[in-house]
This record gives sequence, C-alpha cells and structure tokens, in this order.
Amino acid sequence: MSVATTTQTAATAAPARTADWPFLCGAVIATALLAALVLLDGQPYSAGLILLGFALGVAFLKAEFSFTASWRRFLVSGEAGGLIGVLLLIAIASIVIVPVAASVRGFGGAIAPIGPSLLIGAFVFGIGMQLANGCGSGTLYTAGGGSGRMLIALACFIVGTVIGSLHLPAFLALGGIDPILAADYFGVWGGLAVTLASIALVGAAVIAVARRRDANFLPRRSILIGAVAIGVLTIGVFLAGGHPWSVTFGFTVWGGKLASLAGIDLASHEFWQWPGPKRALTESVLTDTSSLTDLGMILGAMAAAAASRPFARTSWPPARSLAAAAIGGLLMGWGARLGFGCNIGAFVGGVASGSLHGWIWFAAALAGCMLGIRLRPWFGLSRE
Amino acid sequence: MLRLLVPLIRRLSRLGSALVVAGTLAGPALADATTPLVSPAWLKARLGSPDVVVVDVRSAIDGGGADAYERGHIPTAVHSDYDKAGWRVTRNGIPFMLPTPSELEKLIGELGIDEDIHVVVMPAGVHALDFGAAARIYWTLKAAGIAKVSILDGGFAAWQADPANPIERGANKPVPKIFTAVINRELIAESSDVEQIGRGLKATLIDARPASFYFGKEKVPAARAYGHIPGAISLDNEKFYDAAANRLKSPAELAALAAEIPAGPVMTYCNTGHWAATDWFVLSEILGRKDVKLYYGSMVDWTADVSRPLVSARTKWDDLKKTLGIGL
Amino acid sequence: MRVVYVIVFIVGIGAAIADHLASPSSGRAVSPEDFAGACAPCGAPCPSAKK
Repeated sequence: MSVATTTQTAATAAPARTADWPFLCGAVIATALLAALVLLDGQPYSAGLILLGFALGVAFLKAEFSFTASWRRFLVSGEAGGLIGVLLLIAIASIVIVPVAASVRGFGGAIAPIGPSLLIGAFVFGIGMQLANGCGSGTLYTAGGGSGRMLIALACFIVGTVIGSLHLPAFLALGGIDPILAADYFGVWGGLAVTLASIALVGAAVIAVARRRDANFLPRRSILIGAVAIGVLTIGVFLAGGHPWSVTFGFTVWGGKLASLAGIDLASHEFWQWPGPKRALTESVLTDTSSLTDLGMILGAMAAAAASRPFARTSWPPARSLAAAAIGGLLMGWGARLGFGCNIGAFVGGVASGSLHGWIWFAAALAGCMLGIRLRPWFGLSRE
Repeated sequence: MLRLLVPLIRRLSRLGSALVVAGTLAGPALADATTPLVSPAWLKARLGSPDVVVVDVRSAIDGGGADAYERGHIPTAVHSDYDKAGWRVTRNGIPFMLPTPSELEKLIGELGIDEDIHVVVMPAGVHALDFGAAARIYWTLKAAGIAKVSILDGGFAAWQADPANPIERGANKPVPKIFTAVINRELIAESSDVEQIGRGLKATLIDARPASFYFGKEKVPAARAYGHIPGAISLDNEKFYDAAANRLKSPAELAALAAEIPAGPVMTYCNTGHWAATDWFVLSEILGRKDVKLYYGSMVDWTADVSRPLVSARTKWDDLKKTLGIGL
Repeated sequence: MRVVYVIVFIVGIGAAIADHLASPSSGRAVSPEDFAGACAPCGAPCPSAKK
C-alpha cells in the first residue's frame, strides 16, 4: 500500500521543470540558423524581426495571452480582464506607431479600405477563431507550443489565406471608401490623442459591460506583464520592419509558394499581380517581414514550451475537435485576406496606427465570435 | 603643284592595284583593298611603306608591354600599350570608356597616324584575350574616323613563327601627325541607345561574355551587379577564336556560329567592351553585317546606375558561397 | 503527436532554408516606396483609384 502511494506521489510530484532538450535545442538552433542566413544576406533588420518574433512567441506562451479566450469570456460572462489587457497592449504600441508612421519617411501604418470586404472578412474570421480556439497570434503560439490540434488549424489557415487571396479582388470590387487615418485629420499628435482616447473609450465601455454583468475587469498579473511585453515588442517589430506587425500575410506567402510548387498558376490572379504579393512569391520567404516574425514566433513558443515541460506529449483530441480546428483555420484564413489581416494585423495594427478600419474590424470580428461561440458545442468544444 | 600631284598619283596607283586580281587573305596580294585581317606575308611585303603604320599593342594582358616590344618587334612598328596608352579612359568614375575626340586625336596622331594611313594593329597572338584588345583598338580607330584598319592575323606569334620574318630591337619613336577625329556614331552605342531597345527600338543585344557571367554566377569587381541586360543573347567571344591556331576561326565557321542572330541592328557588350569588341569585329567586319554597334561602356557602365534592369539566375546560395569564400 | 512535430519541424525549416537559398539574389533591398500608392500592406489598390 505504502509502496503504491509512494509511487503515485512520485509520479504526481514529477518535476515539470525538466527541459525537453531535443525540441528546445532544435528551436534555438533553427532560430540561429535563420538569423545567420539573413545576416549573411546583409539584412540585419530581418534578423531583428526573427528575434523579435521569437520573443513574442515566448511572451505569448508564458503569459497565455489568448485573444480568442479573452473575447469569448467577455462575450459569454462579461469577464473583461483579458480584453483590457489587449487594449493596454494596443495603447502602448500606438504611442510609437501613430507618430512615427505619420512623420518618418520609410514607415507606414496598417491601413485598409472600409467596405463589404472588411466587414465580411472580419466577421468570418471571428467565427473561425472561436472554432479553432485561436486567432492569428493564438494559432502561432499554440502550434509552436506543441498543440497538434493547432498545427492542423495552422495548415488550414494557410490554405484559407490562399483561397481568400483569389477572392479578395472580387470583394474589393463591391465598393468601399479609402482608409481613414487619425493623423490625416488631427495631425501627428492629435492623431495619437484621438487614438488613445478611442482606446480609453472602448475600455470604459468594456468595463461598464463587465460591471453590469458582475464580472471582473482587472487583468491578472501575467496578462498585465504580457500586455506590456507584447506592446513593446510590437513597437520593435514596427521599427525593424517599417510597418506594423502582421501575421497572416506570411501565411499567404507560404501557401502561395506551396501552391506554385504544386503547379498552380497564381500569376494569372489579380491579387498575385499586386506589387507586394508578386514580389513575395519569387523572393525568399526570409525577405518578407510577416513571414520572418511568424517563423520566429513559432520557434520562440516551441523553445519556451520545451524549456519547462515535455513537448507535444499530449494525445490527439477527438476528431470533432480536430474538425473544428480545420474548419476554423480555413475560415480564419479566408476571412483574414478579405478583412486585411487578423487580430494582430488588422485589429492591433490598425488601431495602433490610428486607422478607423481597426475598430470596424474589431466590431465585426466580435459579432463573428458570437456566432462562432454558438457553434462550438457542435464540435464538442466548451462554451466558455 | 606637288599638292595636286600627290593625290593624283595615289589615285592612279589605287586604280592600278584594283585591276590586279585580289588575292585571298593568305596570299601575298598586292591589292590595296583594306581587309579586316591581314597576313604576315602581306605585311612583310609592305614594311617601310609610308602609308602603313604597324601598332604593336602588347600589354600586361598578354604578359608583354613596352619591354616585350623593345626585346623584339616587327620592323618599323610603334608601340602603344593597350592598357596604359589611353585607348580606354575613366570618365565620371566609370573605367574603360571611349576617349573623347580630342583625346583620340592626341593618342592617334602621336602614333604617326592620320586619316590616310592604313593602320595594322598587331596583338601578341597568344590568347583570345589579346585578340580582343586588338579588336577594341581596331574599333576605336574606326570610331575615330580612320578608314583603313586591319588586324595582323595571328599577331606577333604568327610573325615570329616564320624565321624569315625580320625582328627589330629597340624602340621606334613615331613622328606625330595632325589627326582630326570624325566620330563615326554608327559604330558606337551608349547606354541611352541600349535603353531604347526596351522602348521600341528593334535591335539584338549580344552578350559576349562566358556563360557564367551571363547567368550571373560571377562578375567583374568593377560591375556593381550580376547578370545580363534583359533581352540579350549569349555569344561568348571565345567561341569565335581558334585557341589552337591562335587566330579567329574561318569565315564559314564564324557565319555558322552567328547564324542564330536575327537580322537587323545588333549591339554587342561585355564587361568593359573588350570581349564585345571581338564579337563586334566578327559580325561587322568579317561577316559584313550592317548596323553593328559596340556598347563600349558595357556592364561596368550599365550597372553604375542601379535603376537599370538586369536579368540573372543568381541565387542566394551563390551569394552565400561567395560570402563563405567558396564561390564567385 | 511528437513524431508529427518532428517531421513538420524538419520539413518546415528545411523548406524555408531551401526556398531562401534558391531565391534570386537581389542587388538592392526592397523599399516600402516600391509599393507606394497601395491601400493595404498587400498592395491592394484604393477604392478611389478605381473610379
């Protein structure tokens, strides 16, 4: 009896602090290798983006900074801690992004035309993120952190962005208005003031809702630290890349290159004739800022996860859950292309640049989340 | 009176020569019709003629130079170092350009050459490279308005091969002449001309460099980027040269090699207008194609402006190999 | 799941490196000005530009 107890105690007391060396080393070596390649190519800022992405992966994983879960909790029960953390993150980033994008040559903010494409894309993304259990950043850090389910979500996300790229021009043709940037209307510092004020306003509304529903709105410590760290790193990515942090364009580039490899002729599609995508298809993956931070983030999350516990040692969830991951990934990919980005590129990037489309994206995505949350039980996922 | 008689006598002697059956290039023809290549025998028969100037152009590129000239040269020949005498000058920071008209007048005049002289350019004759030097000087002379120019087929090596050919030591100081350059624009292409090819001007660009340069796998240090000018065809100048015999291949072989070039205007280029001079010489002078120009600035000039397009097959793997010291 | 990760990791990083090395060597860095006039980072044209 006592032997069994001892064994059991020993098993439950097994130190969770031993590193999973193969994956930890693999992640670090891969990061060093990629950074070395771009440095040898004479691109120090590209190396910077890989390392910043790595740090973001670590920060997201350690803080468990999930946009998806925090929005879901807010919608279902009014719990606002996570969402306030997100707003804090954006505020920190905007302090540098709005002024620099508006006044320094060579830097630009995240902008997008406002119309049906943005609304539909963001709404569909919202559905997808709740089914997949992760958004743009969420998919990266959980897949990098060892969730096979999120690996499936990532794969489908990539496919979805390529399909979305083929449809985007048609949705743009439905109409819309040119981007609305705060700095254009209120000047550099006026634009920053308006941006911060808008964040404060939304924050106040969120807190009001939380209060009404008797829910907490103070972020827990790890979220606060995470928000500050990620906010600062977002500034770093902006300064190193010349434009705000973006996640899904990297996926589009990866998917586009794989599609070309499979013999699909993308050059005949309008999206792939625009200067950015056209260039990205023929140039190295390591010359695209979004791709660099994506790779860095996956590797950083992997290193952080492997540093403290066995990596990818969990069993696969049931097929229904995997189906949700796949469908969610596809919807997110398609929605991200139409909506000009994900929670990072469109929402964080847009609002932190002082672009109105960021808030519109947020509202449409929240609406999509509401629908996505309702669909979760179909796949055996929890409602909260 | 003498002023009137001299041109008349010249004209009569030319008429007389023209009545003689023109020999083959190899034969010791007494015809004065200028051919682009002349044989040692042809030259030997005319040594000492006041109308012929032999320019020994040996330089560091063939392992020779002024020293090699002084140790032994064709009698009456004057020396002009291809590399140092000023046949190619640096302008606006770009090296190996065509000299200005006044620079040409000085360079050519000081060699004792004027519009009436038949210039025989004598390379070392040891490699395709020194043939190219002779071709570049030939082109420069023609571009400056000298009507009668030939290259000694086989160069000094061919002259020396026959022990019966006399060799002189020391140096001949040329008696300068007044030479007025009349630039022949029909032979010259500038970057602005090449830029027109993309915008409606129909012309074939010929890249005279080896394939590795054409594809961007290597470049000369003075060129700032890798690859070839968009639309150019690759026609390595060494293909035209018979390395074993150390002279150009036969006209029939040259025609076959150039057969794939479409009819119409042609512009040849390479890195500095050296290799391309061989291509120009073959197409324009031997094969008699009309409207062949040499883009003398070539890649060194073209790449000086970063906005000019280039096509290259060079990859980042090539760059990495170069950085690590295991590639070009 | 671990095996899947090992395979995906090796294939993924390998593909990224292979794509990088096989890509064209460029003489100069691409500048944001290359995409000036676009309405989104991907280069999408502005609605006003179409009218």
